Amino acid sequence: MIYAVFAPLIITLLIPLLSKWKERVHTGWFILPVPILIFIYFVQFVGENFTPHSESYSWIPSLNISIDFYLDGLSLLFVLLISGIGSLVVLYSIYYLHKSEQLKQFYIYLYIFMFSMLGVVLSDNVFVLYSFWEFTSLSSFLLIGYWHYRERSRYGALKSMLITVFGGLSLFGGLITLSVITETTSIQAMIEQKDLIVNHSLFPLILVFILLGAFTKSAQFPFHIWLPDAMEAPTPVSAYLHSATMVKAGIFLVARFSPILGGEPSFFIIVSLFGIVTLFWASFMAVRQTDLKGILAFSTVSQLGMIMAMLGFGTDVAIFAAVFHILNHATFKGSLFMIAGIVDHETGTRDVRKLGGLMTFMPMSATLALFGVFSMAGVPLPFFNGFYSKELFFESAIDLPGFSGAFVEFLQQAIPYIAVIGSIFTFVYSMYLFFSTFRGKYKEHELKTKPHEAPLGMLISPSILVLGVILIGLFPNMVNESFLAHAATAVFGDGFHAHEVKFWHGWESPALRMSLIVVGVGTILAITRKKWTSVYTVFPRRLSFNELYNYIVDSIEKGSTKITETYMTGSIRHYVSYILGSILIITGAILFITNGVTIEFDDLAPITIPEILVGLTMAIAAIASIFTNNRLSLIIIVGVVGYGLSVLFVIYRAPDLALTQLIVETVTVALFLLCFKHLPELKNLPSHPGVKSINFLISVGFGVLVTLIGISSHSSKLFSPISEYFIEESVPLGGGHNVVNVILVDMRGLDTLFEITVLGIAALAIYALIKLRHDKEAK
Amino acid sequence: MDIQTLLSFEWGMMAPEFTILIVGILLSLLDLFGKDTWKKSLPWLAVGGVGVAIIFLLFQYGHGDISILGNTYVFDSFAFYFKLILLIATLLILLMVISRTVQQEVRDRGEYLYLLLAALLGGMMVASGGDLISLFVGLELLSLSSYIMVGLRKRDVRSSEGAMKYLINGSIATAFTLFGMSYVFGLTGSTKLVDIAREMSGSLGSGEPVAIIGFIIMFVGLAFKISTVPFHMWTPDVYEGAVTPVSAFLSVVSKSAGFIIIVRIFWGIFGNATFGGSDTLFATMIDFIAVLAFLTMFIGNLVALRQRNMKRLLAYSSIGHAGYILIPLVSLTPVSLENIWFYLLAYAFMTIGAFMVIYILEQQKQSEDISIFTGLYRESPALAIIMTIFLASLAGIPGTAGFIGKFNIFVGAVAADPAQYILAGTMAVMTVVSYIYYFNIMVQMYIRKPQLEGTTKIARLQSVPLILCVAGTIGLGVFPFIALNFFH
Repeated sequence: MIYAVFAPLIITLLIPLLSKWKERVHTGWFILPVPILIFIYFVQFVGENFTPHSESYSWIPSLNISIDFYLDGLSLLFVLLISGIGSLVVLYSIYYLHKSEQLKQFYIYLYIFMFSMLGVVLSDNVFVLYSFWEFTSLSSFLLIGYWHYRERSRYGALKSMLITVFGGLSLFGGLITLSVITETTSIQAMIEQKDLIVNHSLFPLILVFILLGAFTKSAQFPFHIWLPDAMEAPTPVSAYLHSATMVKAGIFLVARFSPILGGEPSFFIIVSLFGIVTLFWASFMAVRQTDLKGILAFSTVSQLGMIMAMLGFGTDVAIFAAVFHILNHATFKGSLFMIAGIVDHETGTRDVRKLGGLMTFMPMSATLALFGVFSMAGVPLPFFNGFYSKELFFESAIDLPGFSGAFVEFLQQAIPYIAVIGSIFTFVYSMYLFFSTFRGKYKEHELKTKPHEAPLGMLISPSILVLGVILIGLFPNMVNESFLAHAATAVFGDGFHAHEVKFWHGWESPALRMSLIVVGVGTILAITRKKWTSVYTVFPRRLSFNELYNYIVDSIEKGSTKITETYMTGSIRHYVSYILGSILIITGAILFITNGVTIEFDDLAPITIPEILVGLTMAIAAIASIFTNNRLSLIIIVGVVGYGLSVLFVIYRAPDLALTQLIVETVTVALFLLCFKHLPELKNLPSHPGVKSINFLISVGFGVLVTLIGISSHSSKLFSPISEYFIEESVPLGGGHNVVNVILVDMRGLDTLFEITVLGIAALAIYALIKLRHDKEAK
Repeated sequence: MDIQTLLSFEWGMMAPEFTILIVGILLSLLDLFGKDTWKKSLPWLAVGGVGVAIIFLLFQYGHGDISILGNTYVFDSFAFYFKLILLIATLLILLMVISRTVQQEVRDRGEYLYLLLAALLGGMMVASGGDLISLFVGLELLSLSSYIMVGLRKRDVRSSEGAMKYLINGSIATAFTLFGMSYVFGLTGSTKLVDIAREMSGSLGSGEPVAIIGFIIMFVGLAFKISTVPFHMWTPDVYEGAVTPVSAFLSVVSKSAGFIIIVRIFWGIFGNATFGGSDTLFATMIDFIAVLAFLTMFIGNLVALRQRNMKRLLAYSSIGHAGYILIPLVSLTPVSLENIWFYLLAYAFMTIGAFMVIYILEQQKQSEDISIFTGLYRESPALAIIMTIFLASLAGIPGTAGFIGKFNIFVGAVAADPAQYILAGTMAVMTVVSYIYYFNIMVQMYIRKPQLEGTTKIARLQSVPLILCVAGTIGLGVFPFIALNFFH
């Protein structure tokens, strides 16, 4: 199985070589066998006696992550869709994309996608699943941006990426929480711990996180906004990723986790509600679209909503209908996308308003489209597979699970009605799509080229899909027990019993009545569509979720600008005040919280008058330095502070320190004076009084803080001062009574030596600098 | 201390440091007195030196803990693993220096080399420092060399500005660090970490406030080094002013050294100190670090959105990453250290890689604006794909080292006791925000037409660091257990 999954990835490595090998042959031909072989490999598993199958490969043992593949009915359904539709899409693209395009990259992205999608549906390990999940987003991003350099493509690509990857991250959070709770990373092992998970206090969080991931990926309301913009991708990509497979990953996820999360009222409420709202809203929005692919995009969203709602219902009929519809939707929607691509290819436009009467020019395509559209609309005829699953949907919508609660009861009442209304709109846009494109008046002047039937090769893929529509329609039980029942079992659990799918349930069947209402009302609305235009456009574009997305992205960027402008001024003055300010706040806050300051004045020595005088002088000098505009005087004033300090040292009987301080101070002042000769005049920069007062506050606050710290640290002395050791040991160790001298030349003799060396080197360096300068001036 | 004691130390354990020191001195001498023809091969000498140091270090794998000069220099597994990151990163950066095609700063070449090695030596001393003094000296050696490297392009205004800002900010930081250290010394009467830890392990009693002051002030000082908000202001200006390899050095080696010293000091000494009864002092201060981590992730990622200069963008993004690495420091699980190490390693590969791509483009297009990426995919598909890998890793997309790093940190935060949900959540949200600017570069590369026709070529020398970084990024992403097993 691992070979089947990795085959597309391996082939991508060969694509660059293959495309160079025989330039005349379309690259697509070389790689077409890969998905076909995968399809053949997996189709062998289909059968009534199918049992789940798993393979395991060790990967990151320390994190308990291994590549586990688990093939059950659900994965099998998806795997066959991915490889089957994949083969058809590649075949179709051979005719759709000309050899002059950048085929190499197109196929590389496409096969990376195929690889990651296979990985998503087969992984049993949640983290491996997540990894593949993100890869699908990434390849979708690359494919959306593949064709155009337009602003819209960029917008669409970034938007789809941001929304799906955001969802992916949320899913990731959910998966991590799940694995932390269950202490396993295997989905199958998690299913066995359902009770633990459901009763855990974090269950709501897990539910929301995982569903958020699924909803964003499967374009559920209100996250559906990325899908219409993703239609910038070449049509084969839209058919494959944005209709048949990738957007169904969210569906897959919900189905996969149904055994864990399902059966709970909260799961029912959230999933059904979002599903049904999506169904209604997207089908309603689809009617006002004018772009062929736009209609199909919204239609996809609404169909996904329908499947999602069925998964939310969670009854056995609903689950069966859901997996059935996944298959059906892939067939009819895939063919419709391909036809839309053909129309675009042959006429040069996808704008429905410019199209019309193409039936006469493209009879084959029109016939194929007819089947696709009628199946999508759910027309009750025995050769449209869409009808069966839609009828099962109605059937399940009437028979909802019996949870109690006011809101649940409201939902139970409302869902059948919303389902019917949504389906009516589906019917309307389906008819609109078909009749305005292929019937009606041919608008010659609107089209740049004269349309004609597509090349035969391009029609093969949609024909095969339509054949699927008809065959499943005629013999729905052909795929029932051998295939769909296994998928439904994987979602529902072992209690699932296969039903026979029948076309005719008799007039008494409420589902049939609902279908007939849909067709009846739908026909009327479709015929009189023009009169209702204002209803369809009643929701202004400004209130859409698109605007919300734009607003969020814009305001994040604006916020960023604002932050940047307000504090990243580039002025070191501001930086220093921010730094000191934040230190003040942080330290102050922590000292306050932890009661860190203890102030005791017990054992303080008395302060004498000379000390006060020196201290005052230093303070005055420090303050005076602020008001000086002249560098020279500034240095001298600051020097006063330094000299004051050395005087203090003298008072406190530390002559060596005083001496050092004196020398350092003198050297510094001298060096400053030397340097300042080369600097421009000091300008007194005007600053805002507000800024000044803030600076004032910061500096005063900082002074107070340091004072407090000083006093406080004095108040909490743990042990006797270090000096006593030196005083005691000075005579026995060094033989001298002058402690400072003993320390300098004896106890720390090596230190002194090195210090002298350092000073010597520094002096040499300064000498060299001065000499260099002299030499330059001499020249 | 007599000569016997001196000789009794296992000086051989310092072989990596001595190698760097000797090569550094040799380089400065050759640069001064050597023939001009030799100067071309000087960078290779530096690469060789670092390579030999790595080999020496690898031979020490599994060696027991030892200390030299009374715990001034310690060799333990912590020092070993983190030194490895410093050495590998410096090696990659040296390869980056060698690859330069624009030769206008050729005169500074030798200086860059031995300054880089001096800074590296400082970093290694920090990794092995067992004494506040040796830690501080190592840190200062690193910092002083960095200041000079930033300002080496003295005719360039931005370079001088950057160096000046770096110097001033750095001096403030140094002052705070020392001030904080003096408090710890005052409290315990020793500069040796072992002694300090022992002194602090008992009840601090009335010393608690002093310990707290020491903790905060020292952390504030060191926070500059890892550019944590609100002490990050210098970062973008300095990265922009420095030549790109130096920016990469500051972003990776210097930052790693900052984390090393923080872990060494704060876990080493405050991790044992009890506070107010049951908790350790470090545990009490967790909220403080958590706030910094939150702010750092928040500001770093948000401000990165609006940057057009690529080096500034990476500067802010590196601030954001520093915020992520602070999380394991807060969550305090047995795997926290492993997570920090892995993230720093991953971060080294992806960041140096991204800087390398910028460096290549910068030399060809004479610009650092984001527009150098415009249409890169058409100009050079290989370079675009390589950059995509680095961006994906920085953004934390599965399959890359960055993902595993973030994953570890995230799981660590959720599994910690108490679980750091707020930090984990912030990390997730800010990761989404970071997608906007990382993907924006990808949009530039893939979905825009190149401004000028023509191709961007990767020179042979340039491909060496690129390939190594790609190998590291993908390798750690797909086979993280190799590194994780190595760590155990």
